[in-house]
Amino acid sequence: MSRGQRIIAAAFCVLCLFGLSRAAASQQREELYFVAVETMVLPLSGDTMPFWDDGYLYISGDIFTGNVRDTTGISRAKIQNSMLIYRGDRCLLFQKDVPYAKDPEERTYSPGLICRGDNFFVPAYIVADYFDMLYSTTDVEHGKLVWLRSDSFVMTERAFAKAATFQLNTAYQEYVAALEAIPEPAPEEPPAPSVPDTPPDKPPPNTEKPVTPPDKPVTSSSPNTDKPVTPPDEPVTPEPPPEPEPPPEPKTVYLCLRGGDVTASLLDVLDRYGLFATVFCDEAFLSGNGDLLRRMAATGYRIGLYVPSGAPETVLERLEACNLLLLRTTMEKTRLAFVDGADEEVSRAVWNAGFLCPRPALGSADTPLRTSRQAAALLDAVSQQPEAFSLWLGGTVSRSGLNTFLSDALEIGHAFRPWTETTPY
Amino acid sequence: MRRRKKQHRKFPLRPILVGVIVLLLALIAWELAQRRLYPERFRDWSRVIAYVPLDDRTDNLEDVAYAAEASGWEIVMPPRDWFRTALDGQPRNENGTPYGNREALFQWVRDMGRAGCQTFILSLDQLFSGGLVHSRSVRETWPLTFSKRATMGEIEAFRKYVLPVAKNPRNRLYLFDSLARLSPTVGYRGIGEAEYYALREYGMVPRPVLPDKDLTLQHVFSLYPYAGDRHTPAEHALEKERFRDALTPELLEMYLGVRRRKLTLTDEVLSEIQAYDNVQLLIGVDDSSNRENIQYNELRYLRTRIGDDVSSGIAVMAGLDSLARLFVGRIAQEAYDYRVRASVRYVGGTEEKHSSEFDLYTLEDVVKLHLDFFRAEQVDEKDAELQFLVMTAPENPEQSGAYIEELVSTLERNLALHIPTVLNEASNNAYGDALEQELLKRVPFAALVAYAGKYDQANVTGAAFAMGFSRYLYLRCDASGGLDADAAQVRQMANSMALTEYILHTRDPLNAYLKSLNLDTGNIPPDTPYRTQIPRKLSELFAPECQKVCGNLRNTELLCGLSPWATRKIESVSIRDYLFPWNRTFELSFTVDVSLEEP
Repeated sequence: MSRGQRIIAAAFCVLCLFGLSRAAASQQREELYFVAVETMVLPLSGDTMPFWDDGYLYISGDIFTGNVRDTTGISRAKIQNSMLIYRGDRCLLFQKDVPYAKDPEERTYSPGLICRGDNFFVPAYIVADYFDMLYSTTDVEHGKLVWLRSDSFVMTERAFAKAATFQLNTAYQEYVAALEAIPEPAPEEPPAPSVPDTPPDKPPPNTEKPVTPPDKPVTSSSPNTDKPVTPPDEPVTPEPPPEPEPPPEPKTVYLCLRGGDVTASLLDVLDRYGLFATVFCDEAFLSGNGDLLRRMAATGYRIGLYVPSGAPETVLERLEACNLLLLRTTMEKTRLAFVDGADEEVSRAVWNAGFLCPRPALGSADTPLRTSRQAAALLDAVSQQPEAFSLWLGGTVSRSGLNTFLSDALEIGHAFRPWTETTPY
Repeated sequence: MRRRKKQHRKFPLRPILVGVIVLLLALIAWELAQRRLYPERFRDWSRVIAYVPLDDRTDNLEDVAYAAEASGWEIVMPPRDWFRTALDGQPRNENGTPYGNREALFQWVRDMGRAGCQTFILSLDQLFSGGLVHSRSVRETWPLTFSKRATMGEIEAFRKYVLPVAKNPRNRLYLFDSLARLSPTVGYRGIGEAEYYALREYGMVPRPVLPDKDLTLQHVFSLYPYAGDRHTPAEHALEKERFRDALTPELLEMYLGVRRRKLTLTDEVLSEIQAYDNVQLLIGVDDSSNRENIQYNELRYLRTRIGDDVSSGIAVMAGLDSLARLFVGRIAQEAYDYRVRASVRYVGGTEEKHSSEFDLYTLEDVVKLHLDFFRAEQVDEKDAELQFLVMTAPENPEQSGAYIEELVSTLERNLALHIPTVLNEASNNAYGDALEQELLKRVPFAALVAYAGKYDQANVTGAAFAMGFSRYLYLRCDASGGLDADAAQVRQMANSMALTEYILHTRDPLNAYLKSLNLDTGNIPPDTPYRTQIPRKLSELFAPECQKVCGNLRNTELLCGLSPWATRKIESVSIRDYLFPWNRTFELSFTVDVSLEEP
């Protein structure tokens, strides 16, 4: 193959991949996204429907009005090119074209808002985490349900989706009726393309029609009609039903977390499910979070030490210093340690000093778990693992991300345990 | 050829080699497994106590660890999850149970022995039943399962895992157990206040008193169900109908089964340890009374088996929460082999009475018991090297002010004259704020050898004497622990003082607040919507009390040497991170930060 042919072939491959990704994006946008807040299922609307962008789920800021505002206490104020979402003295300021939100203490939260016409969409995970709420996405009959609720809500996602079936169906029927009321496009107008020209993650304002009900198939020539168009002379051959995928095998996951700013809220999530983890804490965390350490020790969590690697003597000194801090707070020392970046010599020295280090089969310091998508990806990775293994969530973990991951994982039947002295992984 | 074949049969080298390699691999694997579990074997054990606590309350954790550290010892415990108790509705342990992991604990004891540890304080309630609270709900023999092929009863496990440690004469084992209380714990296994009080009343019904010659386990058990006339079922002797109604046959069977099991286990352990000079056993009795109730024959039976020599280290003691600490003092006494010449001065005038219905002995009896236990020589004040000042409830309440003045001025005098002094405030809070205010205002607590001021008199006396003897013996005979031991002494003192303040000033208003939220103060649900408000309220109420305590200790001189009299300045002390270890207001734990002047 000549060099020119190779370039053409490569370009073709790139185009194919691009086309595939656009098709996938298009497919994704065709799903309906219901929104529920606490126990309320909100009316379905194309204008305010959640969507995914760059791995983040966005919800309309306009939902924080009326009943939602009264129930959650969270309000929104739109001021020209910005939106303020607030409850009491806590508020998040989103500004158009600014890739992050800010709170009154000038802390930033990225990504920022996305404008679609007059509608401002904000990342669900930021709002949920900031206002101590949980959010999840769950498969329901006509699409997906995005559910925001306070973290004291005890019902699981599945149970709520089941209980809300009537409300969801009502919202769906009202939505379909509203669509049917939209006048048919004039015959001379060209049909709307199934793959829009605009990039999939930034569709033009108010032109997106992501809302075709799945049981009303759409052809490329008439996206919004309720009758499928098929060539008259072509025999209809029903496709064989797809073979059901075998359910994923339940695993035992030994869960390791790193102590950090959000540890308290992560413990809340674990408590909700009656689960424990081993939390590896560095010197700064051990110095400044006595209350959390006491809580962990008193309620059954396992505490480990987290130190960066270095010369063996330095690592051992740091471990000893950390253990003393732990002892002062919880009256116990630990032998569980995570030495970040340890080479063989350091590992041996740590082992000889009596410490035990996890050997996580999955996860790293860069494994994020903030969004539903990341939770789904992690869940897929879990299913590829052996029957029992250690999972190290050393990256940025949000309450919502952990909650979604655990909820779905428990649904499958995975079991979670803390990593301990006797865990052989 | 024939000959070679014959040789081959004679010397089957290959199978032998394979066998040796397999054996070596197995040994390496075993070695690695041991190191993975208990690599502490590579440390110096001479000043280490392996400790299996009764449970994870402050009495059994902070109080014991501080007492040991302040006397130059270090406590090593198994992971907390293995001995933690969870009340109903609270998060359970990793293995899904609300009680301790007995199998893991037995193995831990054995392996600590193998690792080289020489000193053990072990709670039998924890080893046999997964903790004190759960021991009150197990009514039959409860086998332990170590593996598929190794299931055994409690005593068999004791023989297999604990007694081998005692076989090494260098090792010393200090065991503590409890006599079944008059009633089980509220908030565990469905026991509510109605059941608690009904069972307590049932237990208190006078039982027939067995003559000495008939004191056998079978006779004791056979009289459990009957009132004093030996015929009337004890429940029929209850006057209040509401108590009778609460006592279902199942509840009574559970209650009596628990008593039978606990007493049988204690009896069997006494038999097992008879042959060992290096094993001691204390049996604690709390929430009791000295009347002829269901415990009466049990206690008499145990006394006939044990004898009266408390100094042997095998004894029935009043109080349960201080037993581990008593052994810390006992370990110091045996390590230094020193008999302290001590005097006791009572202030208040009621040392010959029972201070509450929960006390088995009079205060004077309790003090005598503890002095004997520590092999102390009771002498006149002028000959004493250590003085115990014991505050009793006022004989004449109108003279309370005078008693307070007598106590405080005696303390001032002792400190001025450099007389090592232990303050045992055993008045059961009979003086309210007045005593506490005078003490905090006029007495620098850091200059005392020990102070205990909470609980009923049996436990407070145990705490004061354990702290007092362990610290005094350390100062008198060793004092090599330096800053660490001194800092632990400040923590111990601050802990004891702050807990007294908590009981005096914080707990009642906090309980009132929780009740206003319709919460059970004895078991706060972990998912209560008020979980952020409760710590805030606790902090609001308790922080000022902590300030008082820290204010008394800060910038004062800590007693850190006796010959010559030496002190060290406490530069700072603070108390933070308050927590209810069992999510109930009865106990509180917190962190004490201390900074001492460098030598």
